Amino acid sequence: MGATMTQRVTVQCFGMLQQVCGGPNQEVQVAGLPIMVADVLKRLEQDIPALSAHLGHTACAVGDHFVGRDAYLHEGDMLVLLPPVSGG
Amino acid sequence: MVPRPTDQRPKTNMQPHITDQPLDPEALLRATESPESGALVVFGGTVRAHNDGRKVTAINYSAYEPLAEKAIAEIERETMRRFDIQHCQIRHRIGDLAIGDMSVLVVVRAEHRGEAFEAGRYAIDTVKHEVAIWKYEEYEDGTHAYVKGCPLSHEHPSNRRHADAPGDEPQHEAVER
Repeated sequence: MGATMTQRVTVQCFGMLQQVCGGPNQEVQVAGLPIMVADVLKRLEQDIPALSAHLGHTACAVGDHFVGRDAYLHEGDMLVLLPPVSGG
Repeated sequence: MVPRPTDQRPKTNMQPHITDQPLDPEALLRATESPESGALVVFGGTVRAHNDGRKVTAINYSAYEPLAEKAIAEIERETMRRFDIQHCQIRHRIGDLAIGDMSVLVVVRAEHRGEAFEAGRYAIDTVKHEVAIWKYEEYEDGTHAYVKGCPLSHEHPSNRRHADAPGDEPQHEAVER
């Protein structure tokens, strides 16, 4: 993968973040992979400014693991955004 | 390093903890039968017809299943570790639920009632605060809203804050579906 090639990261939103983002799945164009979670969120905020108010209490996951903002996403990773939960 | 996604349903239990089918208390009672236990505590959460002064007509529950499954299995294990009990089983339903439908079910068996009650309380409180599930309420006037929830903490379970934060107030931004 060339560093200049544009690649896509899919971001999947749950709960009220689906309303904020206008749907469950968002595609973010990035310069290359791997990319840090924080950088993907920064790109997404540029597209969806309303997201900024929610990111402070949003958890991130890949597969069945939570990830920190400093984690790296690789090809095929889908970033999952989890707003405050209300099960029960 | 980001862990690679593996199978979408961790094999932590013989039955999935998250289901879109009606919950079956009888089946869980059979699955946890125990001659060592003198106490049985069953908690069921059911869909309430009102919330925060609004009339609720239905609730849709959604989950991020890979994490929700894992979290509920971990809560069962953690409840077993913390309390002197013989069984802790938890199930949560997702999808469209009507008023009165059971959304969550906790079954605890212990030698004595004290531990059984405490363990059941801990288990349901922790489910409400740590499992990736969301309520989307439908109101009498046709509007909908996600219920305001608790931010997920993903520290090690032994460090996790106790489940004592308020929840269940709907968010103010009701929108048409």
